[in-house]
Amino acid sequence: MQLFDLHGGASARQYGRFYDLLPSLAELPEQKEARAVLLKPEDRIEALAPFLDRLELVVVQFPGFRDGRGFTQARALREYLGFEGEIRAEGHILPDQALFLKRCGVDTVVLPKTHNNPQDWDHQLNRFSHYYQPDFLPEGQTS
Amino acid sequence: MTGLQTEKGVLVTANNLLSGRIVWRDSQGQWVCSIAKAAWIPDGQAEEVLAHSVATAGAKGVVGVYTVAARLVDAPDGRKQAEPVTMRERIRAFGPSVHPDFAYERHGEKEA
Amino acid sequence: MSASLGQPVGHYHYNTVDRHFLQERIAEFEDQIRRRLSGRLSEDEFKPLRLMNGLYLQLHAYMLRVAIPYGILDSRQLRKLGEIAGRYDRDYGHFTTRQNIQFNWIKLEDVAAILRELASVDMHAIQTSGNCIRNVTSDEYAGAAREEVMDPRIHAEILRQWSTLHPEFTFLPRKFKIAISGSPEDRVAARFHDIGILARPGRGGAEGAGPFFRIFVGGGLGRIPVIGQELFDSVPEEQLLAMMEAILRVYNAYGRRDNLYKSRIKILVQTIGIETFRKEVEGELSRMDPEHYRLAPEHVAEIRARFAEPDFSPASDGRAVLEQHMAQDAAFARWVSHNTHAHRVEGYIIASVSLKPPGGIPGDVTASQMQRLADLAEKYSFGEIRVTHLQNLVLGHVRQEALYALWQDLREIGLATPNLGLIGDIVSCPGLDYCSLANARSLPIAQKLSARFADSALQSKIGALNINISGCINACGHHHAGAIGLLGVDKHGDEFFQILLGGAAGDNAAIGRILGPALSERETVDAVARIIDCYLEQRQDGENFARTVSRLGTGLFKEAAYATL
Repeated sequence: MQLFDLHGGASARQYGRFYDLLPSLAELPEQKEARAVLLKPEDRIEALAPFLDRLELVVVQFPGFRDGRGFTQARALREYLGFEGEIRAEGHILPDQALFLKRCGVDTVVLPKTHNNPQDWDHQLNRFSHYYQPDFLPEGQTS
Repeated sequence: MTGLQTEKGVLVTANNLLSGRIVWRDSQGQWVCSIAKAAWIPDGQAEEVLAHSVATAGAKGVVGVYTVAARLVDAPDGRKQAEPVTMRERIRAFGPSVHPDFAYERHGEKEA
Repeated sequence: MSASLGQPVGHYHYNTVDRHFLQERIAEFEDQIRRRLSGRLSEDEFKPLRLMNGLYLQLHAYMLRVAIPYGILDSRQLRKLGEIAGRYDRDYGHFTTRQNIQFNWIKLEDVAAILRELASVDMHAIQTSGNCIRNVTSDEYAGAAREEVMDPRIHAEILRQWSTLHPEFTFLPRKFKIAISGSPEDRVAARFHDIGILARPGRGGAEGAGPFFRIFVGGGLGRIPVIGQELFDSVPEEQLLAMMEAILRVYNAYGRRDNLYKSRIKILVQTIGIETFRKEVEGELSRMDPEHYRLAPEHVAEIRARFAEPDFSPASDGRAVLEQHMAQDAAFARWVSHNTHAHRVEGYIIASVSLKPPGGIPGDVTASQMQRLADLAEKYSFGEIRVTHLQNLVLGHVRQEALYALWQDLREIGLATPNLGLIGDIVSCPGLDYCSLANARSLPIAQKLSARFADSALQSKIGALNINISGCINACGHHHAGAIGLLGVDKHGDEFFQILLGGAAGDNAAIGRILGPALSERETVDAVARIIDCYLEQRQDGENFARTVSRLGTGLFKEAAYATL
């Protein structure tokens, strides 16, 4: 599994840890040692509130790149819950979505097999110099 | 309508990816602009020919491959000519009914 | 901002940042095309990306849908559209029911060049298709009509910018259509949109002068026609964008993605009910920092400053001159009576250009007509021209004493048909002649009906009546909203039409009901003629067709329609 860092490839990596325990939202309450959770697109973000203090990683999934629920989940995690850990996107995602993911607060992408050239993703991150909406990045990050 | 439909068959069609132009599969498996050169495939072979056409579509620069129900009719020169059965496919092949002058054949488009 | 500085009148004037953005978008799409050609993107992956750049693969060719934000063009832009029609298409374009323009014979290999040409006049095809927020439409008389309570163009532009490449809402369950109007009557069919917005100025005093917005949600035509419901009646301007965000957040999270025909927001609102939907929206709003989303009056003023106002001349005795022209020329008088609307500035008048000539294809304009219309816009209306959602055009600011000359110029290019809002002003989808989804052709029957009722005196006599024609149940011709609606169906390989009566857009929105069994094209045209005869016999006190149908019910009309069958 290869991770792409949406905040700029070559810089020192603070992300990239792989977690042995990656329960679903339903399993999270019982898995007391888990520091990460794997969300389904239909999961409500509010349900994570009791676990925020121990979560380091939330993974949002894209069953198909056209299913945009992960964007709302990531943004709600940042904005409503103030989550400051890593948000990782996984599934069928196109490099063309890189900026949208980043602007919604996603930190890393698990590179899909069909689009696993980091250069493609780098290109996409530099596509636009202006946005018409504000974004939801964690403290200290710039777009 | 002249001509007898002796067998049920199909033509295989697609769009040229770059130009968007309607194209037809000929007897050599090439994609051509003129329906007059389209290969008429009897129903029994249609599935196989379609599968092969779909599989090679990318390499040949076409998209949206599918089969069109067709019948054989007598052309003016006495040969048999394949023609789509449904109105939708006839419009697609020969141009909008309200503007037949817009059809590709009238605009001298090069072979795709 | 004054028009005398050379800024185009009517729509937002781009700055360097806006223009740079268009170039970056074109570069992105060019790269996507390259990756498609080299196979690094599959067709399934490429298709949604090209749709979000307005490019469909239709029955005959690629079709490019160019955005005309809130329907307003300047003459330079219209000329460019004419050039594109000539250079890259079959010398014509088609104006749509969402105030956009379509070119039907486009090649993918030409698209980047076309987009560059469009960008040179501040135009684009961004988000005119795809599961994203589409062109925000508005009232064709915006900023011009006498009775308008508030000019919606500024907020239409604000919504356009807010919705452009929105990071969270670019992969929605389905397309999303917003309309905004500021007239006392709903001229944009707000109740048939995913979000419909009716704007009004504040009433002053405690309420303040700032605008308020009445928000409708969950309306739509299409396969399942639904009238939108009021979500909130008075959203203050500062909260407008927060409200849009909240609604889209709920939709993006909970709209169905498993069934193409149940994925619009109207289904979500119907399923959970408006009360629950409102609670969800309020829940979002309660968690949003209002300061972060506040639409500041300063920002509104900035946007407003980028709209140039026409340099109106002082009032003269234009009215008297106009009346004299009308007295002298009965044909002109007829055109004025149907195709004009009162202007807010003394001495000026709004002129509508019908794109429904007898026997013609609704909404189609040739390249040379576009060039000529651009000239006329410059000569008569400060270089501004508008597209209506009923497939017509408008010159919004014509001096009354110049109206006669305009009409004569329009006659020369075959665009002086005096049938605005009349039976000949037919709205039709492209139908089976162009669209891969259609079951039947819509254009030939539109032409036949138009020819049947070509006589202007007859059209005037019949009065206000809208016919809407769709070639399939996707209802892009909005047949449920027509006083007479026609729906093309395929019956054993033959084209048949269902007739609907009683539809209406606007304040008394209603969904038309099917009259009886479907009829052949010829029978349908005859049936419509008998329905009209029935109306002419039955109407009282100058009531229009819709009122007569409403008063009598459809029984009598059904009898008339099927009389000889």
